[in-house]
Amino acid sequence: MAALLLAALVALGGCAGKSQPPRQKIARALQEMSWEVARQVGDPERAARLQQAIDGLDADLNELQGVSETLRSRLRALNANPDATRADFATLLDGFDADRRRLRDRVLQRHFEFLAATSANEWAALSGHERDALAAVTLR
Amino acid sequence: MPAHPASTRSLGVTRRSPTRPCSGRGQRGQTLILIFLGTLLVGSTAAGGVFGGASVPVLRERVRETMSDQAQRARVDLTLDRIAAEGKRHDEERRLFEKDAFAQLARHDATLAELQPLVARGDALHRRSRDTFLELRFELRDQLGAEQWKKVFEGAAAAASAP
Repeated sequence: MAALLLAALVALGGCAGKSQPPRQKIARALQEMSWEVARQVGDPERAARLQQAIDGLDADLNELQGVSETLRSRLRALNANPDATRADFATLLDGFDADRRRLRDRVLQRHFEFLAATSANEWAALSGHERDALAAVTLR
Repeated sequence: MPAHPASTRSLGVTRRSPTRPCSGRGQRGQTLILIFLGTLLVGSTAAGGVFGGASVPVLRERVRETMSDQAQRARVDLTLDRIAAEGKRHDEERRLFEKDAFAQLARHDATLAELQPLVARGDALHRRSRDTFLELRFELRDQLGAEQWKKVFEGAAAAASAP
């Protein structure tokens, strides 16, 4: 019943996703990826591995969203300070860069987990959902 | 995250058209760009502005409002022109990078070794863009007094966060 309700809400939502907050966009894109896995991958063991990777990507993208929001707010505040030094910027941006590299490596790891658990045809059906998830974080 | 039940297929929820008008594909791959390039927030006009939010046209307007000396304003305008030009150049490089990255990620036979040049290209673009925009930021800072700076960026930040 809950699944039916969720599906109906998604259907009613239609293109409203474009105005959704980033975290909802991420959840929606990865929910659709999960559904595609259920349709495309008959092997329960591979489906479970894919779901685990989807859950991991969900956590990574939400972390990235949080890190980006924090950076944007700190960068704006630092820039507005006329006394801010190059060293202040370097400290802030180096911190973000460390997070960026860590998350990049994790996202690439999830990507190769997807590839390892799918056939070429299955990936053809799933890759668009990964792409949607990667487009979900927005900064404006 | 539960698997999609077979019963929902009858609702047509996941039977999307080939163009997938409601998907995120029409958006920029900002996540991808953030994790590969990282500089979206520093100098990309695509993210709404430079230095965390202020767009160049808004900055220019704020400078006009706060600076009466025309010669000084002309120098600032030149720096803003360079920031805008670098922003465009960065956005174009980012667009090409994004296209290549999504093409690689769509390949089922791609290996990690094949993706490494893309990762290196992203890091190089990131470093170059970060250095360029910080250089321009401090060039602009040298052209404005402390109080002028505050007025320009506080006003620009307010304009950026207005609905």
